[in-house]
Amino acid sequence: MSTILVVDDEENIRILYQQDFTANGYKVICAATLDEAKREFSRNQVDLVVLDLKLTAHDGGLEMLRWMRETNRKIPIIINTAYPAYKTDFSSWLADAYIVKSSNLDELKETVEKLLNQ
Amino acid sequence: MSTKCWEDRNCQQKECPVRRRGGKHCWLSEPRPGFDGQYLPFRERLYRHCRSCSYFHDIIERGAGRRADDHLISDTLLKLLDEMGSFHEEVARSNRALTENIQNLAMLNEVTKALQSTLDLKQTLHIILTGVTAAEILRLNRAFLLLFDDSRKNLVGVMAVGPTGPEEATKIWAELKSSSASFKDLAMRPHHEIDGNEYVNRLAREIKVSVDDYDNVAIRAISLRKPFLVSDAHASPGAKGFAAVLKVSNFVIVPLIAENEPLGVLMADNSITQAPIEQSDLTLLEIFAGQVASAIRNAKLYQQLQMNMKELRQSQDKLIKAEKMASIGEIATTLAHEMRTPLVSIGGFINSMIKQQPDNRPFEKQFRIISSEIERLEAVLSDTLEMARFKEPELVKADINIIIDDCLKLLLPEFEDKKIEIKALYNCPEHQIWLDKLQLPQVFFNIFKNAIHAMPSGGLLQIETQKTEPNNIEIKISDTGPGISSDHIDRIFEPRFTTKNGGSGIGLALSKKIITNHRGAIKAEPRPGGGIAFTISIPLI
Repeated sequence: MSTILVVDDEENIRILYQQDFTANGYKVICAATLDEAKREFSRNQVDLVVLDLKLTAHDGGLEMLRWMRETNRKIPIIINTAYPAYKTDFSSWLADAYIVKSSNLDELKETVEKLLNQ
Repeated sequence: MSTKCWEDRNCQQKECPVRRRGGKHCWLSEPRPGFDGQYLPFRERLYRHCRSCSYFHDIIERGAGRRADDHLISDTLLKLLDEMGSFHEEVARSNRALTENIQNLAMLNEVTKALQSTLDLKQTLHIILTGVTAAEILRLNRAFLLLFDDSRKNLVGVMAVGPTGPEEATKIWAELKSSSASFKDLAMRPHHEIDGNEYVNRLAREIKVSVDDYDNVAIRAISLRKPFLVSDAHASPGAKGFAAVLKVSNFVIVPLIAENEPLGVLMADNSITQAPIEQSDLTLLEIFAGQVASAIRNAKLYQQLQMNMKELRQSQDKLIKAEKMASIGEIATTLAHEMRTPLVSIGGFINSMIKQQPDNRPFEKQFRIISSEIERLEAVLSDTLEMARFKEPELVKADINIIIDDCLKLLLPEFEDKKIEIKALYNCPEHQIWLDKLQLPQVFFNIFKNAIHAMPSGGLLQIETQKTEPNNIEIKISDTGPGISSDHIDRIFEPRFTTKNGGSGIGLALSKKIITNHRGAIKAEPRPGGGIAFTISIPLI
């Protein structure tokens, strides 16, 4: 069973993802803050990260991305954000996929599956 | 013997102005005022009439007696009288000239006052030309104004004043004589009335002289800073061009120079009356030219000032608009994001409820309506956010080598992972360019990412910079991957075009847009020996 780390400060989103991915046979760990995310990332054997990025560039989301990439070069990271603007910030290109948040989870689920099977 | 002395003496007068009715006495001996309706002071009579009257001479001689000395006295008297007469005439002439000069100066003063009352260029030029041709001052028939064009490489005719031909001239001058219009009335016309005579203005607009034409009399007048009185222009190589256009062989040309800066020339002629242009006209025109040059300069500066003001106002408006748009964009972005997150959870839960429940359950149709309406709202929010995404580059002075290095460092783990060797040769001695620190790195990052993708089992990524003409930095980035077919290479920068598995086709299209925004160019070509080579060229500072 693959383990997915969901990093998002919105509780409802965390619940939604947990419920949906668990139903699809994944183990889901949630983190509401970046510190929490770092802790969970170090403590568990995580197979894939779904990372939310906020509007301001200083919220640490991009630094988190770099930190995870440096800690584990191979782990697939999906940026999942409400802002398409990050797509043109080249730092975000360190991620393996960039998905704009949507109520339709099909794209996210397909990407998770594809990256885990690589 | 007749009783009329002028008949006796055959003095060629029809009637003696000095006679006494019925007598033959000399006027000189009749110093009564009011005689024959005329009154002239004694001295005046002596100079004007008696001096040339043979009867008067007789009287003087007769009265001198018989001695030799007496004759000497009478001769001296007559000579003295002659001398005084000439002197008197001279004084009268000087007086007339002085009066004329005073009148001219007064009129010049009028023109100057008129010039000082406006800063409008067209109005200024019209006042000047009216001044040259006005009956009270220079009395020249036509005047033409030639000024340097914006490039300052040519002297071009801008305006003219004067009648088309003798008929029109007679009519206009008669009208002017009978009208009570002052100089100011003539010169200070409203804009739409000062276009003047179409014929002379058309002639003026035909005139164009290159500043390199040193033989031309206008260019010579400017470079030597002195006026020229041209006669027989048809025979003079430097003036026959003007002669042909203006159809006149005598004219005067005066340079217009304000604070050491040559502005153009003033030309004038007497093509209608054919009256000679005197040296005194030239002197007056020269004095006039000084005033004219300052006025033109002021009007031009004012025009420039007005243009600058207009530009300033326009950029201010743009700035206000841009600020407004920026804040609207920010509000829209924030609002769209704030709305999107709850929509994602509502829609997400509805979707998972639909999936988790068996078919044909109560409310299934309603759930599906909610789900599709939420998707619709999300699409609206996506469009709003996409629109807010486009940003003009913010160019700052920076070192492009550092930008390339930063991108390489960021991807170092991946290069190492895929065993890709990096060779960077920074050969361009200068590397400061205007760049957007967020946008430009995307280009290198994108090309490097493509290279990593193209060389999954190792290879060489080479970066080489060099200086190219006129003042550009050229960055060549090549990989040793499988390369791209020549069919595809032309389409590589098209949006949505990709040969990469899982690629969006946005990266290179965006890269090209970014490079264009940096006033640069990007091209791709197959690398000899396999792989692909990108060449980017950006202007150096």
